[in-house]
Amino acid sequence: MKKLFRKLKIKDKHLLVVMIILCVGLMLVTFSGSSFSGPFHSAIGTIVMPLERGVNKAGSVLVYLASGFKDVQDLNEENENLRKEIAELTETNNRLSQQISELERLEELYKLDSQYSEYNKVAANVIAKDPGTWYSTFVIDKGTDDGISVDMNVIAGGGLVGIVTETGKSWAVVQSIIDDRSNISAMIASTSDTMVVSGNLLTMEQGTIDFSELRDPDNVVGEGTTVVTSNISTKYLTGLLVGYVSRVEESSNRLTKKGTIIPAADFMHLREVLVITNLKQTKGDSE
Amino acid sequence: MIRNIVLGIYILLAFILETTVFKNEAIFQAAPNILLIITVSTGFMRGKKAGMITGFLCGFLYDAIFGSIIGLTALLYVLAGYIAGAFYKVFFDNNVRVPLTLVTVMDIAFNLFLYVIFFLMRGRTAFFSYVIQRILPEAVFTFIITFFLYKILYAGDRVLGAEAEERRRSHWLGS
Repeated sequence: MKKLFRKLKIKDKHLLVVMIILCVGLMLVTFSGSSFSGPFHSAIGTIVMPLERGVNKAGSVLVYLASGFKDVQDLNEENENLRKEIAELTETNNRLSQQISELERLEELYKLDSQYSEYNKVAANVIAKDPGTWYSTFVIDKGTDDGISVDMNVIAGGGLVGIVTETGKSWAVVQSIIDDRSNISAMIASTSDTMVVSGNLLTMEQGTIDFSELRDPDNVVGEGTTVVTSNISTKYLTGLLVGYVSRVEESSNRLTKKGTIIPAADFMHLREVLVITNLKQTKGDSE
Repeated sequence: MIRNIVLGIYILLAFILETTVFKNEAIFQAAPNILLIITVSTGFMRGKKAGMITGFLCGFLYDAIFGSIIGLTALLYVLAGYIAGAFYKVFFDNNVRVPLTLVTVMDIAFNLFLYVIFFLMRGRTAFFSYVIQRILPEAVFTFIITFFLYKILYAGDRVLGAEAEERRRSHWLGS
């Protein structure tokens, strides 16, 4: 490489200018909104992703070994707690199955689609995460070949995890809901009062995200209230579990409420996720 | 030539380690910026051009997979490589203190810049909280990793670049 430069006789400063122009050019093309990044994504993804996958597999074995030793005591304790939980859950389950049959009758009555339980899902592994300190995005090992496309919702552990923002042939990038840039239109499950749920980098370590713009006329929202994605959201399917309210307070304008939510998905130990391959139908799409 | 191929392998390895092993939140709180370490080390050991090209490759790799604006990280890394290269002829490259300082200062500058354009601009004004929770942990971790990684990179470069080293020494004596 050096010889090449010696032949061309490029000065350091000139190369710097060329590089800066190249980078700024790339940025401008990104801003112009064209989809030129596609080829780069797939080319680099094809080289990097198989390696990511291998390293990740090896890494998970190591983590498993390391955590195995210290966890034995915890496991005994957990086992006891789980037994209790099973007893409670069995009871709840009985109650719920009765309610389901009731719901089915009512749905039929209202001719509602039971679409919510019929989403098609693709399971995927998390193989890489954004190395920077500012954002919370990750890469999964399924892509367009597996029917994944941009704006598909991603769930794990029963809760919403994020949304697909980029796709390659065999991989896709997901922006998680705890990412500082993320804004979701959500609602209280019981009253359908809408709110905005947004990620917050500073409270990420405590495991909470923020909500705001909640009008709560009946004053029902408190600790533990269930929050789901709203029906007016353009990208998120309706009724996906976001999390549970952990703190509520009045906004300074005294009209709306804000506070924090504990997400249902465990972002600290994200390994497997499910991608819902149904996209939200919006008015614009059907035209 | 071998030197450049090895450098390419370093960059690829660094990216993979950074996004997998070091990004395990259950173990590490912050991830070290290994790509920046490679860029600055190369610039410092081999000069401005090598630093800039390494910086571009590292930044572009990140941008192509994770970047919201393609070219931004690449631009910042090119500048980092150029600045590191400016120290190439001033210090002997067996001195680990110079790259340690360079990497740490640039890591902090890099993150401060990203904070200003991506967070401050969106009204996230809790500057000190971001510095304490985000920028400093990464800087400290990057500092520690640089201490070991630079020695490895330097040793590797001595083996591969012995010839270039000779040439450089004669350049020193000549000038």
